[in-house]
Order: sequence, then C-alpha cells, then structure tokens
Amino acid sequence: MRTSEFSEAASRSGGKQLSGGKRLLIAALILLLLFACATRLLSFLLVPPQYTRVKVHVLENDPPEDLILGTSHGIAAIDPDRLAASTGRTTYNAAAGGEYPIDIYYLAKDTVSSGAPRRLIVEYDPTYWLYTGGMNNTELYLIRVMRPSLTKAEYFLSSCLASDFRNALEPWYLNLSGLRSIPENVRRKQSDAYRNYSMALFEDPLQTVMENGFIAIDDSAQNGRDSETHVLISEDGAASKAYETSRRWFLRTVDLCRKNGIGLVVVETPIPSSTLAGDRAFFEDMNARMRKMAEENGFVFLDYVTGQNAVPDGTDIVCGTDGDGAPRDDGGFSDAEGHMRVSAARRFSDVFGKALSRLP
Amino acid sequence: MPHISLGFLLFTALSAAVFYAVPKRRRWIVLLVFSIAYYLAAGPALILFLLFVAATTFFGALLAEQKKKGAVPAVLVLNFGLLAILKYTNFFISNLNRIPGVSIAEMRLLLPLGISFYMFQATGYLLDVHWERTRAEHGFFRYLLFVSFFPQILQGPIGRFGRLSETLYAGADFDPDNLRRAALRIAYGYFKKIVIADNAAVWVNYIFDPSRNTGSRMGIAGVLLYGVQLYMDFSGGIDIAAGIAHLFGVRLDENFRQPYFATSITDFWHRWHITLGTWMKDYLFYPLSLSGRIGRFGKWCRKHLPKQAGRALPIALCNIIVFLAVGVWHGAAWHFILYGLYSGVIIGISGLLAPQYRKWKSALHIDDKSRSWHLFQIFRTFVLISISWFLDRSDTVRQALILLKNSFAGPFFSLGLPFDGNVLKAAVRFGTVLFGCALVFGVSLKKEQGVPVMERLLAKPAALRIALLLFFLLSYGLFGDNTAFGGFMYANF
Repeated sequence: MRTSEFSEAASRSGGKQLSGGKRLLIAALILLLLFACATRLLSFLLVPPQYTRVKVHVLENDPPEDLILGTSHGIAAIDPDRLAASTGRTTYNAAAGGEYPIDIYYLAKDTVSSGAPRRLIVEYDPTYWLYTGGMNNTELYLIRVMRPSLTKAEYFLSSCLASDFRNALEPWYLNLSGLRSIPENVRRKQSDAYRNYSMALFEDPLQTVMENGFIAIDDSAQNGRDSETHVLISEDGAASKAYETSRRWFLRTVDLCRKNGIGLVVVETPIPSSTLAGDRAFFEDMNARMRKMAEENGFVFLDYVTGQNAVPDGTDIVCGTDGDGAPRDDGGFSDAEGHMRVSAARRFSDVFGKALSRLP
Repeated sequence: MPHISLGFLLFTALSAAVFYAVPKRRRWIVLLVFSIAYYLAAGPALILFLLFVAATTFFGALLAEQKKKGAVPAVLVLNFGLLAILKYTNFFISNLNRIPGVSIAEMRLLLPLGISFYMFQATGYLLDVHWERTRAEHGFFRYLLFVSFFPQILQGPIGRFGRLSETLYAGADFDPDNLRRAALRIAYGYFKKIVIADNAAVWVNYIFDPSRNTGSRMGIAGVLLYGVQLYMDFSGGIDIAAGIAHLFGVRLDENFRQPYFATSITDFWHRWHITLGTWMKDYLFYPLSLSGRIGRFGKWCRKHLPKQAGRALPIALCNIIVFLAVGVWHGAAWHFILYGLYSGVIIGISGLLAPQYRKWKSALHIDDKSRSWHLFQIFRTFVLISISWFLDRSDTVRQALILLKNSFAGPFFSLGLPFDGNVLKAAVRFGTVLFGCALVFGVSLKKEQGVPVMERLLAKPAALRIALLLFFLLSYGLFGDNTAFGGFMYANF
C-alpha cells in the first residue's frame, strides 16, 4: 500500500493521521537512535581500551590519600609505592600522557566528589603549557569513562564546545588508523582484566603498567623521541595565549585544593642533563613563573630541573641541585624528552618521597 | 565560533528552539540577539566595526531617501576607506618598502570577521535606496539584523535587502518542510567541506608549500585538487549557511550554480560566487559603463577604431576594472590582483574578438548548438579557470609562475601526488575525494538538467532521507580528514 493510500484509508476509518511535526519528530528520533547505535558500535570496535579507564575507576571508587596527576613524565618517574614507603600514605599515580591542566583540574574535581585526597601532587611539564590541548585522545577518553555527573558535563562543555564536533559526537574517528586492531580491541574488551579494571590488560614487552598507576619503562627501552628547543612565551603570541589558558586552569586546581583542604605539591621531575643544556632558558623562565605562582598562592613547588623551589620556611629539602640524589644522566631516560627508565624512576621516587615526608 | 565546532551546532539548535518558542512578531528579535551573540563570541571589540558599518549605512540611506546630496558618497568613502585601511595598509607598506631606502614598519591591524561580506551587503543596500530600487528601512535594529544575520556573516552570500527582507522579518511559521530542507542542505554542506575539501587540502597544502615544491611537477594535480577543494569548501559553507537560514524560513540568494559546467569565463562568473559577481555588475560595472568618462571614451573609440573594437573596447575596459576589483576584494596581494585581472582580460579580449570567433567557427563548420561543441566549451573553460587557480592559491606571483612552468616542463600529464609510503591511507584519501566528487557531480548534473533535486528528495519516503542523513553523519568521521580542524577558506575575508 502506498503512503497516500494509507493516509486515505486511515482517514476513512476515522484513524488520526500524524501531523507533519510529529512525523518529523519521529524521523529525527529514529535518525538519532540509529546514529547513536552506529557510533557506539564503532567506538567499541575502534577505540582500544586505555589505562586511563582504570585510573578513573580507582579515583571514583577508592581515592588515595596522596593523588598524583600529571603527564607522561609523571607516569614514568613516580612510583607511588616508593612514595608511600616514606610518607605512610596510600598513593596512586593517575598521571597520563596528554593530560593538560584542564584535564588535571577535572580529574581532581571528579575525585573530590568521591572523597577528597589529603594531598594532590601535580607533576608539572612546562612544555604542555605551550599548547591548549585541542581535544586529544586522552581528553576524549577521560570524558567518556567518567561517571555521569555535573563535573563530567562541565568538563564536556569546557572541552568540546570550541572543538570539532566529531570529537564529541564521533570520537572513534581519531582511531581509524587502527582498523587492524579491531579483533584485538574486541578480545580485550571481553576479557576479565577489562571487566575487573586490571592493568594486566596493558602488557608490553618494554614497559609494565603497574596496578598503582606507575609505568615501569624497562631499563633497555629506547623510545627515540628527540628533545626540542622551545620558544620563550614572551616571544610567541600563540604560546603566550596557550600559557594563559593553562595557567587559568591550573589556578582552578589550586582553588579546588584550597576550598577542600587538600594540600598541593607541584613537582617538576628531572629531565636528561643534555636536554636541559639545550633548552635552559625556557625551563628557567617557566619554572620561575611557577615558583612565583607557588609563593603567591601558598603551595609547594619542588623543581628538580632548575632548582627554583618554593617550600615553607624552615623546611630542609635539597632539590634541583646535583647533590639532591635525583637521576639526571642521559642513561636514566628512555628518550631525550625525559621519560625515566624504571631504575632511575625508583631512585627518584625514593628521593621525592623523602622530600615529601619533610613537608609539614 | 567555528562552524565545525560543537558549540556552533548547539548555538544554532538553541536559536531555532527559541525562535519558534516566541511569538511570531518577535522572532526577528531572536535572530538579531543570536546574531549579535555570535559576533561577540568572535571578540567583543570586533562588533564595533559591525555597528559602525550598520549605523553609517542606515543613516546614510535615510538621508539618501530624503535626497540629501553628499550623504551617499560620504558614507561610501567612510566604509570603503575603513576596509582599505584594515585590509590593504600593510600591502601598501610592503610595496613601499621595496623602494631602496624605505623601511616602514607594518601595522598590527585587526581584520574583523566577515567585514568584506557585510560591508558589501550594507553598501549595496545604501545604493539600492539611493537609486530607489528599494525602500529604506526605518528601524535601526531591523536593519542591523540584515547586516549581521549570523548564518551568512562569515562568508556570504552577499544579500540584497529587497529580497532578503521578504523572509528575514516574516517570523516564519513552523514548517516541517523547512526543517527537512535545512537538515539535508546542512548535512550536504558539511559533507562537501569535511569529506571532500579537507581531504583534498592535505595534498594541496603539500604541493603549494613554498618551502617544499619550487621544482614540483605536481602542479597539475595540485591545481585540479585546489579547484575541488575551493569549490567544495566555499559551496559547502554556503550550503550550511542556506540550510541554517532555512531553519528560520529565511531564503538566502544562491551563490553557486554548477560553475564547472560553464561554457565561458563570463558564464563561469555567472555561476561562481554569484552574489559577488552581481554586486560588482550592479554597483560597479553598470555605473561605470554608463558614466560620462566611459561614454566619452566610447565615442572616441567609435570614431577612431574599427566598428567592433569601437563598441567592445569600453566594455572590455569596464570588465577589466571590475575584475581588478574582484581580485583586490580577494586579498591584499599581487597574485590576487593578477587573478582578478586574468579573468577580466580574457572576458575583454573575448568581447573584442567575438566577430573573429564567429568567422573561425563558420570556416571550421562548427555547429555551436552541438553537444560536442558544448563539451569542448566546458573543457576549455575548465582549463582556463584551472590556470587562474595557480594565481589564487599560490603565496606569490613568482611561486604561481614557477609552478605553472614546472607543471608543463616534463611529460604533459605528470599527475604525481605526494606520497608518504602509506599506500592504504593514500588510496582511501584518493578514493574518498573521487567518490565525493562523483556524488557532487551527479547532483550538479541533475540540477544542470533542470531537475529540482531537493524537491525530488523531499517527495521520497522518509526512510531514504534518514538513510542519506545517516550516511552523511557517519561519513564525517569515517572519511573526513582528521589531521586539521580546518576553518572555511572564505571565512578569512
């Protein structure tokens, strides 16, 4: 029966025809439903499971006393178990590659709603402050795996409004190059390790993702990333603008800590001495700015790169000099950028843990 | 607020929801509020320029309606003077600096979003009132909406008050058909931009990168791809603008009419960026060609030159001036100026040689109603336009000429493309652009044959439209380029 014949029949039988508006609404709902199903399926197939899912689960269900947030330098350099041995507190490393100041803020805020940590340790990589993030895979994934809440909605709006609509509506589009990984993605997502939020899912011959969030990069690993020389933000308009945006988000984290009685320690983990030699002016400039912020806002800054620390008066901490015990030789890192190998990371974590234990 | 951002989509949806929620007679106010909000989101200071243009042309038109002498020239000088200062100051400075001993620092000037579009729209209105083609609008805020209407402010089309006002202030009733039309047109526009234009842009940017390709023989491929990118990007943006306007029951003028089916350069400019072409025709070409100076020049030509040249030369001169203006409108650089002049000179010469062409066709027994001649004309025009794209796309005249020369230096068809070793990626990108072009070509062919494509689609079962929209939505993620969050090319004007 054709559509027009159906309408006539319905009318003769006394049945009500749907108005144009209702038909449009039904069509729109069908379209949205089909789109949602297709997008969900494509996400399942294309987006590989990430350790950030496990980390967010831990923060939302079993928040630690000392929470570490930060970048890939922080994941590789700070072993929470070594810190805990010095501080006596439960510690968890929720740092992630691609975690910008905006992400750090919302992760901290999300954790606070489950139970505020006693202390927030933010690993500071000044190179991240030269960019505004631009909706990378980490951010998209973090937003998706967070439980529904006002924080998640706020995070979504803060991140997604100004970015490509595909980031919000079709996040799988960034994973199209991984078509060959579809069978592996499906297998992993159906495994017990995935269901139980276990880091055992992320096996790699050259690094181990520990259950405490630390990534132990094998002492033989060589990632091949070169160091870069960075512009001073006073000389680059775009970098200056990005810095201001990053600073605003960081200060929101500072405020969050203040309002919730959370102690804040910002730490810059060591980088290879050869990398520092080639980019000293940049690191000194950025760390001076962080120290100033620390002094103005009353938080601790431990600078293991250029020694521009901000610690409470009378605190006896050696940090950022050759005698502080932190590893800086090139052999302690898997790349020139500054991702520590496991032995160096554990040595650094012992040093850092002792410094933390000296803080009031 | 980039048109590809989620924020813009939500903004548009919200504006439509509020539009239909308020009483009919207040709906134009909703459009005005959202248009101003859209512009403020780009930077609060920029709205001052918009208000300046709106205020000067509004009051100028009121004075013109009262036949106050001097009002119109004064307003035109103010507005075009402002545009000249903002857009062309550094161009003059950089040229002056080529003189030995001259070293003037370039100025840091703000180029307000869409100024080239809304200024032309506003001055067009002023001249229409002056020439009594349309009535003056006496409500400043209603007029401000005409200047600032957000779907078109970024890249046109350049509207005419007489036509646009018929639907802009009407406060359309909710019509499901408008929404269907809008959804299809917007989705099609994003398909052209994200799937076709942005993929083509990856290769175009590589080929035209001045640091990489001075000796490139990929010029032919580059210019063909640029022709694809430019058309898909610009017409895609216009489709989105027109689709959004449809949401409110507002009809915008069409800006493209299957331009690559043009049979001459003149015909091309009747099909490409139509509203700029008609603006130039109505507000520059006709006044110029009917002016006293050109009239006197015409008399001199008819007196001293052969008959055809005497008639055609003044028109040719006017065309060259108009296309010089078109080139200047595109940007403050010599390659844009030459880009405009190129079309102007060809049109001028065509006019001068028209009788000669008729003789040649007669001698060669060419039937100019035949299909093969028609196809030849399309091909010829396509080649001529493609050559102009070298000038449009390159960063300098020198780069354009080098690329043009190198394109023909080797074997004639050297259609090499940049290749980074990833066969699958290159094949998918190439296939995507090809498929996208085939789809758009099919639609364009139907429209060229007079088939009302949109009306046919609206008459089909809803399931087909749902399937089509679903295809478009998924294609953005599956086939769209994901290496750049590319804005629209004409949004920088």
